[in-house]
Amino acid sequence: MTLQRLARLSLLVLLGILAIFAEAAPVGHPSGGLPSPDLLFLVVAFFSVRRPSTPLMVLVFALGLIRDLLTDAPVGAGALTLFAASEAFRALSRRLRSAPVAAELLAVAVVLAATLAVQWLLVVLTFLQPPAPFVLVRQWALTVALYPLVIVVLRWMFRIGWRRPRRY
Amino acid sequence: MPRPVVDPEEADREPRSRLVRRVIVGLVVFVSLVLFALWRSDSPRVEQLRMAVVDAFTPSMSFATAPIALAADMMRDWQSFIDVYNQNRVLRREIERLRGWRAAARALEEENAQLRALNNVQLRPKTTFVTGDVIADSGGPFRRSVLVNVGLREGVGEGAAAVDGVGLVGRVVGVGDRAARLLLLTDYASRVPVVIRPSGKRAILVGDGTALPLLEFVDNPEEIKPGDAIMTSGEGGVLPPDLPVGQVVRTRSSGLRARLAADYSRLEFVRVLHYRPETQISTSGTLIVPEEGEGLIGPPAPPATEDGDAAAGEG
Repeated sequence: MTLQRLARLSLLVLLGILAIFAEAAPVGHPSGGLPSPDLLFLVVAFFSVRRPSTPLMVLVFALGLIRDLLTDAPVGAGALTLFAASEAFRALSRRLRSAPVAAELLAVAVVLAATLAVQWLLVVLTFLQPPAPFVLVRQWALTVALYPLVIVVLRWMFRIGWRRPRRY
Repeated sequence: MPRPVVDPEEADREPRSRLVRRVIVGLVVFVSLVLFALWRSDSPRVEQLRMAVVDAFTPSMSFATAPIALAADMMRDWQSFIDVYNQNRVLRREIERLRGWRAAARALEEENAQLRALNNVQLRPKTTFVTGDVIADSGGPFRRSVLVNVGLREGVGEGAAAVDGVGLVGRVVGVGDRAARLLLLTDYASRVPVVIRPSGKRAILVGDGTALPLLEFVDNPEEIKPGDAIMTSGEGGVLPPDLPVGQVVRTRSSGLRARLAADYSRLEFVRVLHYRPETQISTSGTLIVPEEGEGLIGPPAPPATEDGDAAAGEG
């Protein structure tokens, strides 16, 4: 493992933990306000698309599990869906890197919707009371809306250049 | 065009790494599903794991979330200046503490009046409390809970009621050394037995993720009016009785609901109560057979027979 990759991994862990803390910050969500955006998902999505070799599979799973445990989410369900999302982005990374940002945003929106749907389904299948769909839709919309901001901030932080148009 | 030269070692490594990936994927899926099944079956091990992780992250978490919480509060109070805000924060903490004393004073006054009126009354055990800061909330859409920075070290026990200055907030469902997890009344899994005053009707307060939990299993709901007070009934011995919960509201779509007294939008500090019900029976055996060393009360035991059990059964 190169020093550069190790540094990237450490940054991913740090950003992941910060994202979890930001999600869990007590900002009045229990009163029925907007749920926190899924910042960890956005960080993992960014790294999986831009630097597919950086996120280790086990690391993504561990971050997801820590988030499940700290934020009282269904344990295992959030980690599994985050892991699956990371693998999906990794598989699509080559295409997404050469596609317009809108395509990347669309992919993030679709994969996030799928992860929320799987978690909701797991809760329903195990006879727990699931949240109302509009609550999930609000979290989905808020998270997708934040992705462009995450791209700009992380690119600036890691000095990742803007993509160049594909040459034919 | 020359064909690219393929390193045989490299070519050998690719299927091997693919196999490793598949094994990791399989393991991750298996571990996730096992953890989910354990969580769903309310395994205490999952709660222990959760609280161990919370304990490990509590110091850094309060450090990291405090600025975000502060920023959110400041956005809400954007009209105030920074120093006024800080002063307000200190004063709110003071008010919280004084409200606790006021509630204690009122309870003592009431108890005193009752004791003057009655003789030979058995005193209700004293309820004490510990105040903690809210350091995190669940954030996601699936649960409604918060973490507070008081735990076993401060004497917090599982099932303890938590109140803010005005009313019941929730109950403790997980305790670590340094932190505890409170399940709020709005959570999907929250069920609290309540009594509605002045009618005295009993009901169950059922959380459904909204700010107005449902009132279910109410006898003759037409006797209940909007604005009636809702208090804990104390049934089950988990929560103390007569804690203010909120007021009844009637909705067209879903019937009776509760407007909670606790202010969830400003949940900065909570008081976790130390409460023990009046009568505690630790083991059912001590009801029938006294502890070792104590004699039986009542008529002498019948003499033992050879087929003792059978004789007892026939008798």
